[in-house]
Order: sequence, then C-alpha cells, then structure tokens
Amino acid sequence: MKIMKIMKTRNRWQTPYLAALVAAFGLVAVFSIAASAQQSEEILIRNATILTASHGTIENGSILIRNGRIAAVGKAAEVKGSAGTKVIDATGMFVTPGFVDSHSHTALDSINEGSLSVTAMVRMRDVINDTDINIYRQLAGGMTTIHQLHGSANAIGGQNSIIKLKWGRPVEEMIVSDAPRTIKFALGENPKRSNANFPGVARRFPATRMGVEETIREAFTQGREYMQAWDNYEAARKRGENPLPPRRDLKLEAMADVLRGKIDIHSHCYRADEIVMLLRLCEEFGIRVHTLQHVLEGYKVAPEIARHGASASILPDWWAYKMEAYDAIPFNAAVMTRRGIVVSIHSDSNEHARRFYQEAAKMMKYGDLTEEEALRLVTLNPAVQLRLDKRIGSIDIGKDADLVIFNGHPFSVYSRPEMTMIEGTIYFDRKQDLASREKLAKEKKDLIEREKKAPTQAQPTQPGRPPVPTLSEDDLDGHLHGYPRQNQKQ
Amino acid sequence: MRNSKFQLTAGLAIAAVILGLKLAAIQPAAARAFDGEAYAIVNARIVTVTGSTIPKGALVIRNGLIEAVGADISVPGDARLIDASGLTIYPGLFDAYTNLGLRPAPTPAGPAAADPTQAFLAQLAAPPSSTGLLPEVTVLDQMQVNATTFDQQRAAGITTVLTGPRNGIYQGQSAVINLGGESPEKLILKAPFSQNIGFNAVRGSYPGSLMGVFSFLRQSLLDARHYREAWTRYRQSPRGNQRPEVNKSMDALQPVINGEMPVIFNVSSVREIKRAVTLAEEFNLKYLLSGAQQSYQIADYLKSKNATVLLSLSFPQKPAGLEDPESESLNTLRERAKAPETAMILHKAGVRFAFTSGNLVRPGDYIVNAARAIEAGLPKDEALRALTINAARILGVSEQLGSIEKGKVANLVLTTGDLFDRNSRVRHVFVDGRKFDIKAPEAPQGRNGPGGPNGTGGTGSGRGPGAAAAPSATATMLAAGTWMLTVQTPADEVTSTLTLTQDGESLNGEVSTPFGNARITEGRIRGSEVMLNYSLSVQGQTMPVSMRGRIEGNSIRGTMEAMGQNFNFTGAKRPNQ
Repeated sequence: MKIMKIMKTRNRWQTPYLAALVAAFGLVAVFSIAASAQQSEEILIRNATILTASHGTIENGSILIRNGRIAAVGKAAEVKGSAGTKVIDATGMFVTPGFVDSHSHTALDSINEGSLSVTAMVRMRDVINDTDINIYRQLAGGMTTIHQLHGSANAIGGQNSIIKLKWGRPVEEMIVSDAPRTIKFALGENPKRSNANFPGVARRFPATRMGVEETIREAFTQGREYMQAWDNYEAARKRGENPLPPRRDLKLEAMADVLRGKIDIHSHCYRADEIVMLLRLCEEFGIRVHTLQHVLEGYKVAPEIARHGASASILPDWWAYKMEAYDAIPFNAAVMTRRGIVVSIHSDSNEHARRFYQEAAKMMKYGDLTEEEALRLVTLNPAVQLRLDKRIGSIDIGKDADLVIFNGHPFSVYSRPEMTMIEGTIYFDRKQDLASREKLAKEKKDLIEREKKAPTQAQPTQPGRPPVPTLSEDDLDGHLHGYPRQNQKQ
Repeated sequence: MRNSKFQLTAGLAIAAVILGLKLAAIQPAAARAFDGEAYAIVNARIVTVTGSTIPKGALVIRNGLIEAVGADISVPGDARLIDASGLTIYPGLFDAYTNLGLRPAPTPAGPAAADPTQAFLAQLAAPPSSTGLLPEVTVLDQMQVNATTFDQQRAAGITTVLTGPRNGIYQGQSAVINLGGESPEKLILKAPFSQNIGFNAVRGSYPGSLMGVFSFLRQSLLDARHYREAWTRYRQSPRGNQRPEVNKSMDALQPVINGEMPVIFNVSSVREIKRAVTLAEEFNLKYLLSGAQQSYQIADYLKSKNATVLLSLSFPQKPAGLEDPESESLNTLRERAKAPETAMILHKAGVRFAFTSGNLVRPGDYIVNAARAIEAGLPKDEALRALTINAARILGVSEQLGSIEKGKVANLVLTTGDLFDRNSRVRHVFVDGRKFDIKAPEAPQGRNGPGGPNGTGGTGSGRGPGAAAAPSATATMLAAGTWMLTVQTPADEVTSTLTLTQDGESLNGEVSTPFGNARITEGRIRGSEVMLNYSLSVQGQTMPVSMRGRIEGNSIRGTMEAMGQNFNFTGAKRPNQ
C-alpha cells in the first residue's frame, strides 16, 4: 500500500497520507504507517522563502531532500531534482527547520520519581508513551524533536530522553539513539517542596537551598567513591587477582558517568544565588553544567554563566507565579545572548509547544534580537544544547530533513504550519488532517451505533489497574503551566 | 440393572470389573446414596480435545483419575452411574492467570518517617527499598480456602487455575491449582510455577513512579546476579572468602535469573508489553504476558519474539451511566470493538496463547466472552484448546490435564449442549474426580443491559450475563448514614467522611477525602459486606478507588484498593443527630 504520495505541482496538498491512516482502520493504523517511511525517494520543496537558521533567509529558494536528509538548499534556479523527484510547490510559503524543544514533558507515562532526593537511576526512556496525542498536536505546530526531561521534584532527577515526533511510529524509532545522555537536576523551591504538600506523603530532606546543595554534593561524593571502588576492582584484576566485583548500583553508576562527563547536566533553576552555587559546586568536582533550565534570573549572573560555559534554556516570559519567579524579565534571552551564552526557549508545556514559534517571536520585541537570532532560540540553539546540531536545528546540506512549511512568516500570529516533515517523511499535513475529520467522525458514529445494536454485551469486570500516578510539574510549582493539565489518556 | 447386590461388596465389585458390564445403552436405576470414588458417566457426548469427539460413549472415574473413556468400554460395577444422555463432557476449563483463593498480602510498610536527615542518609546509603520486593511469597503462604471459595468458578466450568499473589512489583510465586479440595495442600498441582511481576508504583516510597518501577526491577535483577556471584564464590572456596548475607528475596529470584522459572508480566497496552519484553530480553528471563489486551496490534511482533500470551477475556466495557456517548474517544471505541477479535488475530499470527478470565466479576462471563471471540473469527476448536490443552501445556501440566484421556486427572465439565452455546448450562463438574452438581439459577435471566450492576458475590450458579442474584428485599439497613473513616497509609493516617444512602442492596452517596470529594459510582451491601467504588481526581489524574469492608454494629473495617495498593481502613458511624 502506497501511503505517502506527493502530487506533482498541482493538488500539491492532496497527499493521502492521513486518509490512509484512517482507512487502515483501528489501531492497526498506528503500525501500518510504517509503510509510509519512503526515505529513499527525492523530494523537492520548491520556490519557498527559506529561513535557514544558520545562514540567513533565501528568497525563492528550494530544498532537495534525498534519503531523509537535505541534499541541497539554495536559490530555486540552482536547486533541481531529477525526473522522479516528488515536488512540493511552496510558492508563497515559508520553510523553517523543525523546532526543537529543549525542555518537554510530553509523551511520558510518568514525570517525577518524587520519592527520593536523588533518583539518578530512573530513565525517561522506560516510560515513553508513543500514543500521546500531544505528539501529533505539537507536530501540527512544527515541533520535530523534544528533550523529555524528568521533573523537578528532586535535587537530582532521572536520565532524560530525546525523541523525534514520528507520530504513528513505535517508540524505538522515535528515540534518537545517538543522542548524548542527559540528566535532570533541580534547585530551589521544587526540590525543597516549598509549594507542594501531598497528603499521606511524609516531608523529606532537603527543605532549604542549603540542603539542596548538600544533597547534590553528597551524591557527587558517593559517585566518586563508587568510581574508586570500581577502579580498585579493575586494578586488582590487572594484578591478576580475582576479587568479587563491587555491587552494580544504577544510581551511582549514573552519578559516576556525570562525574566522568558522559552525562550532561540539565539543571532546573531560578535564582541567581542558586545558579552560582551549582556552577561552583560542579567546578569543585571538575565538571560543567551543560545547560541551565528556566534560568529566570540568568540575566543577573550572565557573565558567571558565560565564564562557566553553561548554556541556558529558558521560559520566555513567565513570571511571578511563585516566590522564586518574581524577578523574571522577558529580556532574559536577549541579555544572555548578548553575553555569548547559547540560549534556547523551551515550552515545558504541552500547550505552549503547539505554538512554539510565537514564543520565539516575542524575543524580537524584548531585547531586539534579530529574526535569525530569535529563530535560533527554537531551532539551532536547542540543537546545540542537545549536542545534535550536526544533525538538526538548521537547513543545511547533510542535516536531517526535519522541516516545517508555513503559510506565512512563522513569527506572524496569522501564520500556521501547513506541513511538518521529519527525515523527509511527512508526519503532519494540514489539508489531509482536515480531510480526514469527516471520516473519523463517521467511524466514531458507526462504532457508537454498532454498540447500540449489539445485544446486551456489557460484561462487567473488576476495575482495571489504576493508572500509576505521576507527580507533575504543576503539582510542584503549585500553579498551572498554561492550560489546565489534560488527562493524558486518549 | 444396577441392583443392590453389587453394593459395597468388595469382592463383587472386583468381579464386576472383571466381568465388565456393557453399559453404553443402559438406563440407570434410581440413584442411591453412594459415597464411593468411582463414577461411570454413560450415554454422553465426549469432547476429548486431543482425540476425536465421541458422539455417544462412557467415561469411568476412579481415585480422581480417568480410568477409561470410549464409545464401547466396560464399566465397573462398583462405579456410581451417571446417565449423561443429552449432556456433553468437556475437559475442565483453565483460567491461566488469577489470584483465586489468596488472602490479600499485607501491605509492605513504607520507610520510617523519623528524622529526615537520618532518612536522607539512609536513602543515599542503602540499596533501594525492598518495598515491592516480595518474590519469596508463595501461594501456600497466602491461600485461604473453604468449601465455597470456588463455587462460582466451578459453576462456570473452571476447574484449574493459575493463581498467584498480585501485590507490589515482584508479587511472589504462582501455583497451578485444582478448584476442588478445601485445603491448600490438596489443591496444588504445581508450585511454584512463575514469579509474577506487576508494574505497580509504591505510594510514599521508592519506587513511587512507573519509571522508578523499571529502575527498581533492573536493580534488583542485578542484585540477584551479584548475590549469585558472591555465594558461588563462597561455596567454592569458603576459606578466604567473606560469607555473604542470606537474603530470602534474593534467594527467591535465583531461579528467575537462571532462566529456570518464568516470570509473568501483567500488562495490557502495547507499550507495557514492549517494556516487559525489553526487560526480559535484557536479563534473559523466561516470560509470559498476562492480560495483553492490546496484543492484537503487535501479533507479528509477539510471534517474532516467540512470546506466550495469557490472553484476558475481560473485554473493556462501556462505562455505566455514560451520558454522552460522543464523550468517549475514538480510540476507546475502537478498543472495545476490537477486543473480541484479539484471540483470532493471535491465532492467525501463530502466537501461543491460553485464555484467562482477567478476574471477571462473574466467572460465567468467561465462556460468554470466549463465545464472542469465536463470533469474531476464532475457530471454535481453538477457543476450546485455549481453555484446555493449550493452557495445560503452557502451565506445564498437560501430562495430567487439559484433555480427556485415560490416566489424566478427572477434571470434567458436563454441559447441556455445546459449551459455547448461550443456552447451554453447566450441570456437573468434576474436580480430581470429585463431583459437584451445579444448580440452575433461581431467577430467569434479564439484567444484562449495558451498565447493569456488577455481580460480585452473585449466588446464581448458571452462566450468562443474567446469572447474578436479584437484589434481596430483605437486606438489612446497615449502611445508611455518615461514616468517619481512617485509612492507614504507609506514611500517614488519612481521614475521610462517607455519606451513604441505602436502597435494598444498593448503596449511593458521597465520599469526602483530603484529596477531594467524589460520588460513589457503584455501591452494594450483601449481608454485612459492603463494596464501594468511586474515582478521585488526584494531581490531575483519575484514581479509581475500591473499598471492601464489613459492618459490625456501628463500626466498619476493611481494605481500600487504590493505585494498585491495599490500605486498611476502620470507621465508625456518626450517631444520628
């Protein structure tokens, strides 16, 4: 079954991709999309305004995609396909790199292992929910890669995962397998539980910023001892001895890899004092904070952050929703960018992630970033923070064909994505989405009717297992991030 | 023909066996009180499952075993005769994953709250908490049965089940049991069979989240390997090696990591199934997948993994009292439509499977749902095999069970017609050669519409959706009023207020908790036993809660199940004002 077919020039949006999804019926559809990954073909996106995010804007430009990668980008007159190339005529359209969210909690069955203050052993990739409808909604907003972070309940949270939003593909294909390993740290009110008190759950250490620092120091120290134990073991083996190996401890293994620089630290933080504390603490152990997350007071200590070499992934303009957020300013991105810090904007929200480009646009207003600097906040810079800038984040030859086609300039509130592709495969097509709605509505109606006609088939069962509760970031902050949280169940 | 001169006379009985009586067409005389262990069932249609079906034949049971079966066999004179004209004999049915006959395990205690600094230091120093790590629990430890425990299952034709503890992560060791005897020692056919694993978070301590559960599972399997290594070294050379500590949980995990004992993962969604398979492959575990409701989406994947599925016949159902059908998602509707097809899809893909009831409230629905699987395309003989011989093979008891063959255990079901015919009725069941007569339901069918009340504890012994007992008009008015409840959680006591009204056996009302308020969605009282279901919205998630308790005067006590855990509660009725 040929599912994805891009017509030549005329009827260019009539790709029967989603229609096939619907036609394949039932949940088998989820897997039959596998057939749509036709990466071997050439696709030409023709005659668009291309915002490359790395080397300026190309008017009347074309992009040639081969085997899922960008094979050529330039003026339309210079970039041509061959005879069999599928052509997408994008006259009047704008093309941007797929957006990269450096701080997301989308498509996860649990977010916080909130029981302990150090949970370096848990891994987000164990709990990815590849059927979360938010994946599709964010694709519709041009998002293509997300950094799935552990929550901020603990001073040291879990190991994060990075996925591409290949809606309909199984989780093992979504995971960016060659991405670096990262871990979540958290400072301030959330790990010390200032705003959340859960009935039935005992309060725990730490309850102050001092305690948070001590918690991290203790974990580093234990990680160092663990490394030492294994080094001693290896040394003994080299001497020809045969000692009992030390017990493998998944938590301390992760801490040891943090100390070895094999796992990047991404730390949730707000206040200037705690930011500087973490930079100094890491320097004491000979390591670097890779990315500061949220960083609301980053503008106050931008020279210190720059000197340390950390990057900053920020909330664009949220403030005053809790005590530690009172000193936030929307000029944060611009101030830090001008200090030479690699800055990205993140969503931290299923809702903001659907209109991520608008968040970037605000940063032209606050602090006079250039258009390309603003675009990089949601494309190339987060790619750098995820160490994936060789693969994604800009429209350059050799990079993954993760692209968004807008019907207008992405920084206009009147614009919207028409199509989103990842590695040359279309995962969102607005026209097809609209066309499929009627069919989906009919399918639903038919199923409801079928149940009505079915003779008394209700089979009472014992209640199923309840969902495993997950501590959300809203719970910790004592406020809602954007819209009220929706039930993750579809 | 069956006259009294054979009665209880050993010599003559032996003579009768030697002489042999051709009984294929013999009409029985009036039944007599006869307490022997031998039965001869004659004039029956016999579905042997492994051999061909005998249109009209006889079957002899002695000492709990099938002594003879065939169209034309000699029937011993000492056997109690059962004329089964019009009846069909099937092998007793299996339910391949249950927790029948087990009392709830004690909820493992959470960590001591004490001094937070100490708790913190302990946290960092200690291996992950052993909460949820109870692999050493066995069925014998937890079994609590009496003569009526399995009445409903037998009435549904179920004679053999896999049962195992269901609390926590490593839940303990399952066993294959026959649903006949009254003492655990007599029921057990095979123990242990498996280690059961559930992806259940532990509230208030580690692992408190799904991802923590996976880290916990991986860590404890690594620990079991380390334990094995330490003990192997010590046993090989006790001199010069430190003696390791003994740990019963680690001991219980040894056959698991050595691939000698399978684990059963209780899973339903595609991603749960894949998580289980990934974990099993990482640690080379033998595994079975129980539940597996969404397995129809990944039948080829399961085939490629050579996986074994204990497929639940507890199909998803429309929620009771759903006001707007449109409010359900398309996926939910698709799931319901697809559920009965799952067995057919697994069969076509060549995946090995047996059926489980998925703890259906009314065991009688088990066969009804198997019949729905047949309607959805599963060949009837495959459905029967999934209930009998295939289950026996998967559970490692096919030498003695799962079909009607000479020498096998006399687990039999006698029905009035085809097993899957809705009008058929189970008449007799034999378990280990012991006969159980199944009474016809007292009331005619009827309450089988969508949203009908769940029939827990129904006294109906037939099967089919209407077998639950009619509400009793004589139910005593025990429950109505306001109750102050105290629920014991590992970290804290949580108080709640329960306001109930009672109408016959049905209970309505509200519950008020520190987590929020909720209406009782389902409530019932039978005698002094109370059952209440409701759903709380906690931290943005729907949390179903199920309470079971017993009222004594103005006090109530029982257990509350929420988030996969059981909590004890006590309470008192507030005096009328």
